[in-house]
Amino acid sequence: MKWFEHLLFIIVFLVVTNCNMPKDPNKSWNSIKQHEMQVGVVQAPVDSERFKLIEQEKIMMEKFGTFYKVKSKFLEGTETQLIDSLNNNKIHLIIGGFEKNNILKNEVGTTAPYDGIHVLFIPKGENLLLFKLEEFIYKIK
Amino acid sequence: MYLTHTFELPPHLKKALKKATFLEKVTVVYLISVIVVMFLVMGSSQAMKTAWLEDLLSIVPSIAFLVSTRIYNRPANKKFPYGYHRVFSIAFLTGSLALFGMGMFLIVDSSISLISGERPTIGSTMIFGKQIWLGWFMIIALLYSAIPAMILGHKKQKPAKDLHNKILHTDATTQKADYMTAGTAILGIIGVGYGLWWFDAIMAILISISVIKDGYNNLTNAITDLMDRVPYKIGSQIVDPLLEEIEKTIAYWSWVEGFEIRFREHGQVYFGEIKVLTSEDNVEELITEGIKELKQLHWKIHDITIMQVKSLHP
Repeated sequence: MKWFEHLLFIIVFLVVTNCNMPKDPNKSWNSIKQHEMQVGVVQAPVDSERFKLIEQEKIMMEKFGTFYKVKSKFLEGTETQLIDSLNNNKIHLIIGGFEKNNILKNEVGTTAPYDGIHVLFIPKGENLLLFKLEEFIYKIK
Repeated sequence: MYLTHTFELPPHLKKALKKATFLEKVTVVYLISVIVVMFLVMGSSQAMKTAWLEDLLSIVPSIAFLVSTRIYNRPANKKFPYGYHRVFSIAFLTGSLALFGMGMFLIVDSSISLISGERPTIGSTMIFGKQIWLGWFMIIALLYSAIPAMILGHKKQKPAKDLHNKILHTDATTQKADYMTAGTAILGIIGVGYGLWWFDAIMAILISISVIKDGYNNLTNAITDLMDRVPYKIGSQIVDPLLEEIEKTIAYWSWVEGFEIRFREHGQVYFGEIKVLTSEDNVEELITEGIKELKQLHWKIHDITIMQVKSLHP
């Protein structure tokens, strides 16, 4: 029982002293606030359905930047290049008209769907960045 | 064919069995709810996945107990002349093997997670217009998986000891210690919340070690029981003092010049043979009386054979 009492104490202590969870292991959100948000944009054929979706997502990310007062920079690339950059912390997120059950979802972290179907990709484990993105998604839904 | 007689629990233990059966039924319903709740909030946390799988497996002993109690006292027959008592030992072995196997799987899975730097991504949800991090729901789910389990485990301990039922005892002990699994997983989630991604995998490894330890202990116990080890006192590593009591009782019999005993566990009850040296004429009567007296020592002594021999060491 002692172990459990100690655990409860730790939990209460953590909750009382710091409700500031979650945090990012790689401090992505701090980096965005201090510098700029690097958004990977998947290249898609002009006039395709996916291209239109990505254009909408670009507008959404610009609104996100305005909402949080952060600068955004869009970098184009293929899915493979961008996922590689995301996992090496060179970019903060990827927009590409991805559906929530995308086969790439095991390689990255995903946001809640902003329209019930489509999600954004983030580096795995960057939970504060995810929290901020989802805060915005829930606001525009 | 010589069949063992049908087993009947003494009246006060029938009550204990009824209570244990009720508690196990409650446990099954409760664990199903825990499994569903944990699955819904599990996310990609390794510690949560490990705790969930442990909860999933912890339902096995309860179901095994409930099934076994419907079988163990069926009358012996030509196919099973010793009765069905060992159904408990088999159920115990099955549950232990599942626990041990799952522990091995979990430790490999969690270690791969740690080595490959797998970072758990935990999102959020909206409740009554307020955004809440899902990690908090995981913590609540883990507390739900721990507190009632501890109470149930505590309540099952007495009937388990009274009934000398190892599967019930193991279930009670494991459930009582469930708070450690939940507590460790909670620390993993809090670690993730603080950006310490590796904390989750390390906590998952700790849980896996505890699962392996439980599984290994239970497995060795189950195997040694089935190997006809001498009966041990429940929840301990000492030979049941009842055997000493049996020896003392026989030593008092004036008609016995020398003796040796051999006992083994069949589920909840004991079967045994006693070799006696005697030069009395009315051996049959004395043996019948002796068996009667020994059986009065404890309800666990179910089937005894006393045989007259010319020498104790052939």
